[in-house]
Amino acid sequence: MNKEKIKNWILIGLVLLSFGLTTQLWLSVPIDKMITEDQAFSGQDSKEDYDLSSFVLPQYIVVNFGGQSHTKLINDSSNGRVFAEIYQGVSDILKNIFIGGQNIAFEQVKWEEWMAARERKSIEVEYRWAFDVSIFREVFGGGKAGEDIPVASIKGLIVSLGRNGAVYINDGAGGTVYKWELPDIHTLLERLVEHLEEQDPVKYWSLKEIGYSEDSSFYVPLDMSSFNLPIGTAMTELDTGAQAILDAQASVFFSDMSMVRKITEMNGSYIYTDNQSALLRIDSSGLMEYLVYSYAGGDRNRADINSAIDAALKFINAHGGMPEQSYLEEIREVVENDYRGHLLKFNYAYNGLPFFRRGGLETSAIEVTVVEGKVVKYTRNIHHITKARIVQKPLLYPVQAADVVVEAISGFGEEKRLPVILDMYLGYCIDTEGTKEYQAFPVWHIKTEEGAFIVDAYEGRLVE
Amino acid sequence: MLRKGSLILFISLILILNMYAPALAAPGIVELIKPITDIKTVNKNMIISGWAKVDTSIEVRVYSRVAQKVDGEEVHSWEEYVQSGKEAGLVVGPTGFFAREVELKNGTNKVVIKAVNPEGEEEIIEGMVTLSSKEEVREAVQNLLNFNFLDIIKKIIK
Repeated sequence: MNKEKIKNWILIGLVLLSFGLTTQLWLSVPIDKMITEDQAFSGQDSKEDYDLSSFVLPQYIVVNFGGQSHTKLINDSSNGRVFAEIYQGVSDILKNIFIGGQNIAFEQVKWEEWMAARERKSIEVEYRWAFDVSIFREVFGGGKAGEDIPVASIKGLIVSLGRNGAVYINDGAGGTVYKWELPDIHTLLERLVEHLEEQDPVKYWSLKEIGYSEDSSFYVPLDMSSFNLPIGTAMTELDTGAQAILDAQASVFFSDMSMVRKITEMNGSYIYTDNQSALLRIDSSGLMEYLVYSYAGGDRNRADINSAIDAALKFINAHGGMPEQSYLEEIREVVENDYRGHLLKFNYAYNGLPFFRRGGLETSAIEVTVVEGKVVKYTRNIHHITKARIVQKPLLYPVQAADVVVEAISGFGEEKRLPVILDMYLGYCIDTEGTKEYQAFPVWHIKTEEGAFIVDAYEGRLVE
Repeated sequence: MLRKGSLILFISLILILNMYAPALAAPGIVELIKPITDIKTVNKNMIISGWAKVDTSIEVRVYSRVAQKVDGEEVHSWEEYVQSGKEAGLVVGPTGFFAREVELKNGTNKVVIKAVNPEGEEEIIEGMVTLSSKEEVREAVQNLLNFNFLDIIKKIIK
C-alpha cells in the first residue's frame, strides 16, 4: 500500500467520524435545549424539581448557650454548614412529631416558660412567617400524618437541651405555646452546640440585655468587626433593552403568539396581551407582571394551601425558575374577584442576607396569586449580583443605626426619643436608581412602631 | 438666747444640706445601665451600656491583671487587653444611649470608662470584673457540695 492510499483511507475515516459526531449532536440534543431559556432568564438556578423543604426555611437559628450568651446563625458562607447541621437535627425532631401522631402529647404552656427556655442551653428556630401547620405536615410528615397536633401554625420553636429536654412550639396564629417533652437527650444537637461554643462565635444580645428596652424577642450583634460584607453590583434578570429576549420571554406566557399584540408605552414598558386571557407587562427596570383576565377554569378541589404552593412552584419553574437562595417569605389567604385564593411571596438572599429593593420594601422578588389551583397573578423582579468588592470599613453598630432612625422620625427641635424597635437585622438593599448596573449594599432593616426603615450599614444614611 | 438660736439654725441648715447632698451634687457624665461593682461572670463578653449627653466621647478599655516575679516576689500589674477589631472610642448619638461589647480575659479584669462631655468635663469610671471558666465554677460548686458541714459541727461540739 503506497502513501497515497493510506492518506485516502485516513481522509475517508475522518469524514465518516465527523458525519457520525454531527448526527449525534443534532439528534441527541433536543432543539429546545439548544435554544435555552437562559436566553430569557440569565443566571437563575435552573433546578427543575422544586422541593417544598427547600423554601420553608428558618429565617435564623439562635443558639442559646445558657444565661446571656447567644449566637445567631444565618445560612451564609461562614455558618452555612453548622446552620444546616443544626436544622437537620431540628428537622429530625419535627419528623418525629409529625409522624409520631397520637404518641406525641402536647401541653399548652405559658409564654414565661418559652422565655425561660431561651435562658437555658437551647436552640431557637425562627421562621419568616407563621406558616400553616399543613405546610409542615407536608414537609416533615409526608402529607396526612400528624393531624391530631393541636398547633394551627408554626412561627418558631425552641429545642431545650439537657436532661429535661423539651420542644416548645410558638403557634403564631393562636398566640400560644405548646410543649412536648423529649423522650431522650438529643446527643447530636448537644454535641453541635458544644462544638459551636468552643469556637467562640459572635455573640448576639437582646435589647433587654443591652439595656435599650425591655424587649428580648430578637437579638443583635455588638461586635461588628466580625462582619465582612461586600458591596455588590446588581443587574436585572431581564435585559429590557433586548427585544428578542423580551419577545422570547413573552412567548412562555402565551400559547399562541400570533394572537398577541405588543404595545410599547411612553415610559419604555412593554405590554403583551391576547385581549382575551392574559396580559404581561415588562417595565424598563425589569419588573414583570402577569395578569389573567378570567379566573374561571380553576379546579375547586385544589383550593387548599399545599395545592396552591404546588401550583405556584410549577408555574415559577416554567416562567423563569427560582433564583438561588430563595425562600418562601409569606403565604396568606386572599380574595380576588370574589374568589378565595392564596398569595405566596418568595424572596431571595445574598450570602444569607435578605434582599430589599429601594422603593419596594413591601414587595417580594416573586409574588404569585393562586386561585383554585390556577395562577392568576405573577410578579417577578429579580437582580443578580455580578460583581462584589470588599469594604475596609466597620459596619454601623445597631445603636448607631437606631440613632439614624431617631434623627429621621424626630422633627426639627423636637426632643429625640428612643424608637420602639420591634425587630432589627442585616440585609442587602438594591438601589434601583440609574441604569442597568445598580448598587447592592448592606443595610440595617429596622422595624419600629412608626414603620420600617432601611439604614445604609456602611454610610449611616437613611435609605428608606 | 440669740447665740443658742443661731447655733441651732446653723446645725439645722447643715443637717438639711446633708440630706439634700446627693440631689444637689452634679450628675455624672455617664449613667451606666449596670454599674460595674466587682462583677463575677462566666461570660467572656460583657456589655457596657448606658446614657450620656449627646456628643459625649466615651472610651472603654479593659485591663487584665498580670503577675510578675520581681526579686523573688510576686508583683501584680495591669496590662491593657486590646480588643481586636473593636474601636475603644465612641461618640454618643442623638438618643443619648450607647452600648459596647468588651471581651474579658480569664481572671481579674479592670474595666475603665472615660467620658468627656461636650463641655470638656471628664469622668472616669472603673470597675473590677472576674471571669471564671464554667469548669472552675462547676468545681467550686462541687467542692461546696462535698463539704461536710456535719463533721465540722461535730468537731466544734467536741
